[in-house]
Amino acid sequence: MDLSLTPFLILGGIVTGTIGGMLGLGGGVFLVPFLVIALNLPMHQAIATSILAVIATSSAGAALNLEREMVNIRLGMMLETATVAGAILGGVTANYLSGDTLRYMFALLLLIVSGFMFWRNRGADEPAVVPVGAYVASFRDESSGQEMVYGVRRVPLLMGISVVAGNVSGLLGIGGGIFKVPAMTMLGGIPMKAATATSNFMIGVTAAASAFIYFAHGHMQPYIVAPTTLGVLGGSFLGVRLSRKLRSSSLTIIFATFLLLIALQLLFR
Amino acid sequence: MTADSSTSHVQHRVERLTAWAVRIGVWLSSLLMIGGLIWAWLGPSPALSAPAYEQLPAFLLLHPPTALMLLYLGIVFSILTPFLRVALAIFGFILEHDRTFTLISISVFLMLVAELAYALRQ
Repeated sequence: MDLSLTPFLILGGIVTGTIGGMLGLGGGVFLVPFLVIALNLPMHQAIATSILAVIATSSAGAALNLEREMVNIRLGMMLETATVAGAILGGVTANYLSGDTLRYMFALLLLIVSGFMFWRNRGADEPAVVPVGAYVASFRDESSGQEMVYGVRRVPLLMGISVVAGNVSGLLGIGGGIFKVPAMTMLGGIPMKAATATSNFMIGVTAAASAFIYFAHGHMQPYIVAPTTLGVLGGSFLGVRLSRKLRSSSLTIIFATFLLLIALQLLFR
Repeated sequence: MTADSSTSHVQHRVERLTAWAVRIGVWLSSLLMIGGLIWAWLGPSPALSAPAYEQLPAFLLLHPPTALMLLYLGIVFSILTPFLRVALAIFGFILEHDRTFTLISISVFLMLVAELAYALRQ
């Protein structure tokens, strides 16, 4: 490792963070392939780097969402019991798997994410907001100016999905929001904005649950992790700002295709 | 003030406190990482190889400051920020006298501490 890689790591972090911020995903889905394919980093180091980037972006987002009172902390904590258990298991397991196995698993994950993005772009309606179920909470929707009151349905099912999300997060270094947000909106009946904010609040805790395990195994190399994390952090702010100005449907198609190609590249590398 | 509005008031105060604490965590860890990188770039040929994990506490506590040390501290603070988030949630639920969620939050916190203990034993 030498410092000549630092500008590439910062730039790569900015680009992947921006894309992630524009699409409402963490940067991990784009960051890990970038580190593995473009910079030829070992899979375990790429995952460890992504985990720290996920923690940083989640913390920054959580501060904002907490101030806006968008986070359902009770629901987040309840689901977190399942997610953290899954993440610890994932972190421990990952260190017993070979880099190639992780690469194949990541490629499979990208195929799922890509499929999800194509599906989401077909314009799935947001579920009707009805304050029935557990963990009733409210927030003020800034775009409509309305007070949104909602309850959460099918909590046991959400807990089960949270274990899977945590496990994938610990294994592959992504936030897991790609599983949690659709589950919360479609199965739990939570409005998208509250689901995204609550998922974001949880993601950092989930990632922290496996971070020290990667740290202990020596996969977090400071001269790789620090510039990448700073880049992703800056990029995610930029991405969120850009997303307000750009049409998301065409972007989603472009990036879903892009992810599909990356998945194939990882599979047949 | 009714019991509900009192609980809601406490909840909002704890949410603001948590947001504030998390923001400090993000800024502190980012500044440490930026400082470490600038130091590494400007300073005389920095040590690029990380110390072995078991030597890390001594490296962080006993040695004079180095670029690598700042980077490590930035990483550690960044990882600890979500721990702080959960700790403040416990504090909030205690203030609201919500025993169920105090216990749930404590169980999340204990799992994180158990993970830390597991990592330290590696």
